[in-house]
Amino acid sequence: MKLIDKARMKSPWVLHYNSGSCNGCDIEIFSCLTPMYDLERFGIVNVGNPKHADVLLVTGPVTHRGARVLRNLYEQMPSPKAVVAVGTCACSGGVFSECYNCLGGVDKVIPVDVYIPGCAAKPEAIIEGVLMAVERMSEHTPLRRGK
Amino acid sequence: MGEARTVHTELPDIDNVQVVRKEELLERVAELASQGFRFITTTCVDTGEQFEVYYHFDHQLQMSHLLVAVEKDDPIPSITPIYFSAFVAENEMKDLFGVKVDGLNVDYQGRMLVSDELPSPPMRKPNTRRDGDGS
Amino acid sequence: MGVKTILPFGPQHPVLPEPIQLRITLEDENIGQVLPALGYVHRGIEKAGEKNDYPLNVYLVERVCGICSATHGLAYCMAVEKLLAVEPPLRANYLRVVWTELHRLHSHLLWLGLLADAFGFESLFMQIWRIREMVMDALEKTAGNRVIISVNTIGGVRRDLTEEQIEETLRTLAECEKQLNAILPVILEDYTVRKRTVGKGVLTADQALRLGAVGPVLRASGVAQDLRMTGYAAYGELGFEPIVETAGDCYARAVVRARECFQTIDLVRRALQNLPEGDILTKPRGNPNGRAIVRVEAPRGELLYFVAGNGTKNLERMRVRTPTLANVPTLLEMLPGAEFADVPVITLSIDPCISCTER
Ligand code: SF4
Repeated sequence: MKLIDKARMKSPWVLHYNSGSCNGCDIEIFSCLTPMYDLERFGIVNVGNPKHADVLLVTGPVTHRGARVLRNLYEQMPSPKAVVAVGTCACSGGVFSECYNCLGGVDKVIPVDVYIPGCAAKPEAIIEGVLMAVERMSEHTPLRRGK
Repeated sequence: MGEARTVHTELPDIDNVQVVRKEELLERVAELASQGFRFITTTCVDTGEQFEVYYHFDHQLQMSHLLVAVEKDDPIPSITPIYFSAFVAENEMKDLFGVKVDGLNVDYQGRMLVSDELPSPPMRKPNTRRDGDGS
Repeated sequence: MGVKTILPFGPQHPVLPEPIQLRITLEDENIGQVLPALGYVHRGIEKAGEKNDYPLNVYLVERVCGICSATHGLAYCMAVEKLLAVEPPLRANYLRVVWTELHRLHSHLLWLGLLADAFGFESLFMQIWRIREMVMDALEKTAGNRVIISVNTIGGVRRDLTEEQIEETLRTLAECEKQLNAILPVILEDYTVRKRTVGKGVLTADQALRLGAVGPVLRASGVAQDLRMTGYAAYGELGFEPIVETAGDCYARAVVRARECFQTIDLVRRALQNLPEGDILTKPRGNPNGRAIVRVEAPRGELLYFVAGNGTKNLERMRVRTPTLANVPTLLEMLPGAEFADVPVITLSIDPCISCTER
């Protein structure tokens, strides 16, 4: 077990879902993956399959239809898992909090571990956020508890 | 059967608008199509009393508009037999305003954008028409 | 006769950065019918636009779409300026061109990268996005933010450029152009790229016009329509020629966008070099009354704003018709008959921006 946990902390795989964002934060997440910021140096890989993912990056104020997909994705991810809300509108709804089709904030639908504010959230902040999420995840795993 | 009024505003700052009755809409649209106009989109304005539906067309970067005013519960004919791509715009009007569109080729039943959780068309305003039918 | 299968493509899919679902009826490997299912990112911005005061709406419409936010802000401001009869100063118009074009540049590079990614050419994706970072830096240095730059305001722009900033931007652009010159031919002449794009998703000029295609999709089919030809902002003074290709396939669309990158760099350069002196803002007065339509060319094509005011500070109606909404019907014509493996490439070739589409 320990080996798996260790591997997970060293190489968390992220899944990205856009639940109604304006794309601003999405392209910043993409920017993180490219040579300039290079999330991969932390072993972070972007995957498309929720069953492979450890960290879920969510952008956007969660629309009604998006909420269904988001819940599904969250449930399909194996534990331990962490959720990072990227961008102001994922944190609280932002400019869209008044809109009729938005629930306002990812935490209305699934539990969130790390909130990254900013419109759009800067790549530096996103990297920091993902690493914080990994840290939090490690606190909940046998790896730490065993100590 | 109250006659739908024509445009209420005295300042429609848009050039090239032709007000048409809904019965002649298809005919006029077909005319534009034969002249090679590209369909841009429709805009629905809810004035409270009625819907004013603009149809925007473009030819060599010159715009041309048709304007139809209808009672809120009156259906308007779909222009999708002439411009297939209009189904997106017409479904959108149906979603947001509850405009009744007759003869849509792809009908999302008012649920293209708006999800089932929302009971009524979100952008429809309450009927403010006082005369005529009180319904 | 093959077996018919209905396959949902999306909303969460590795090649689609955004949630759109295509319900695809497959017959063996071939596509029969396609129906898009939308609504995953519909927020209701048109409605929100009626609740806010009209100057506040600028910030709202910039968030219709992050990738072309400068263009949205510009179109909305132009529409309200029309109603208020405000004429922005010349310098503001030039600056608007600078920022709008920088946004177009980063959007096109983003798309070229995603295209490479869609058929698994990862190193190319990385290379293009590395170049794109230079543009992002230029945006951050001149406007203070990377994506949502919020430079447009009613009556002009909110920021001015200093001499140093102009110098620096020009230097960045030169470097960017040099690197693009090195890499874009590689993309366009590459065997893999050609194999995957030439002859795929063909749209003739007639079809494109009939389906109401806009932007690079229309221009790749040989129709010379670009709203910048109408000369809004400072495009009239700067002079503008649209870029047209005739093949109408995915490859032609890539070529149009690649060539537009250079054109854009050229436009920014000329705008910066000829930047007139003067104010950057004409103070707007009063409240909008009447109706106005403004069309501008966003990176993905024609963007239309319809604004109706009633003499109060709230708008009566704000309608946004975004380019992708016009390009989605073309998919329904391009996809049937294609092979399933080409779905990502063809879908990407219209440069779909779903946040825009659904608002
Ligand atoms: S936080 Fe801002 S940039 Fe990010 S998705 Fe929301 S509106 Fe767009």
